Amino acid sequence: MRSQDAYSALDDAQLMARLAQGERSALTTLVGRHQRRVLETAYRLTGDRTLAEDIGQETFVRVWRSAQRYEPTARFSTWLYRIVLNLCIDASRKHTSPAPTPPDLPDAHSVHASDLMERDERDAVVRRAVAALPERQRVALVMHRFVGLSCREIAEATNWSGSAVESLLVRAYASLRQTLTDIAP
Amino acid sequence: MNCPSSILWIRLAGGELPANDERTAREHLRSCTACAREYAGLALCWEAAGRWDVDLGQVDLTERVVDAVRHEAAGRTAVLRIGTVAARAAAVILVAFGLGAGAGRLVPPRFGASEPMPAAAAPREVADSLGLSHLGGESATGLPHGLAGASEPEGDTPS
Repeated sequence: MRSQDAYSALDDAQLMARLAQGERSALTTLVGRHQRRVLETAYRLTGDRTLAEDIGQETFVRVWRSAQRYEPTARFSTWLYRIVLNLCIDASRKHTSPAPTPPDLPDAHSVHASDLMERDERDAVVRRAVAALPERQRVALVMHRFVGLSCREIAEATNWSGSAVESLLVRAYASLRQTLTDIAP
Repeated sequence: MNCPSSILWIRLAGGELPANDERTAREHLRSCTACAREYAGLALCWEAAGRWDVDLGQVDLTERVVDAVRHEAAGRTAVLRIGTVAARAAAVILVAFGLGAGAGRLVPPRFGASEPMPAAAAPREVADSLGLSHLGGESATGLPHGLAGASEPEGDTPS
């Protein structure tokens, strides 16, 4: 049996190949490697910590289920975040609560750039601003800004067209910029 | 001046552009005030969003994932076992049925003591049953004339 160190030296595609052969230690390595980002992404998209943990768990269970069908034609992370996105979208549809109302943010003209906001307040402002975006804009922006996927990878993960992704990103960043400009240093 | 679309600045901020394209884009920013202003606003937005720190504590999904996978694998094995037993039982039933049906076809029909073998019908009776009794008397073959072959034994002439 390979030691955990041996697994950590393998890249994601190699780990998936091992997992397809029934080596479950490869899965624990993948979890350790990707869970932080997966959890953060799920939280940024759902705003719910418990739900984010459930989505994170289910994501890696699906990775295990799909191991034998996985083909490394694209980056592993693109495929992984497709699973995360589908779970987040499913979760948001199950929640019957109304879309978040626009955040109650300080007037841009009344907040001086030199005033430093507390970290929690700043986080809350960004969180509310992102949450206020329409769902597809929010998904595109989170995938681009926080997960680090390219426009093409976002299109692959979401099954949206490349031009749709670009349009969503332009609008999302424009909305966010209007909201956040004054709190930037 | 032909200015690029906004998506180029987004891709520049995201580090997606190949080296040559990045160089070209930055040269344009040096020469175009409008684009430089747009990119500066995007860069500030990018920087501000990046400071959204998500604190999820020391969550570790490893054990939960391993338990879930183990549980699901055990469930699959149980279903497979039940399915295998059911499939084997069904196969046995089918084979038995097939053998029974096949055996029924191979055994010749039996007639009991009270059911004697039917006697062979007399030629006249056969002709009557076929509606051929108008063909006349029997030839030497025992068949009614007309049914006997053209080559009749000597002494018999067809009617």
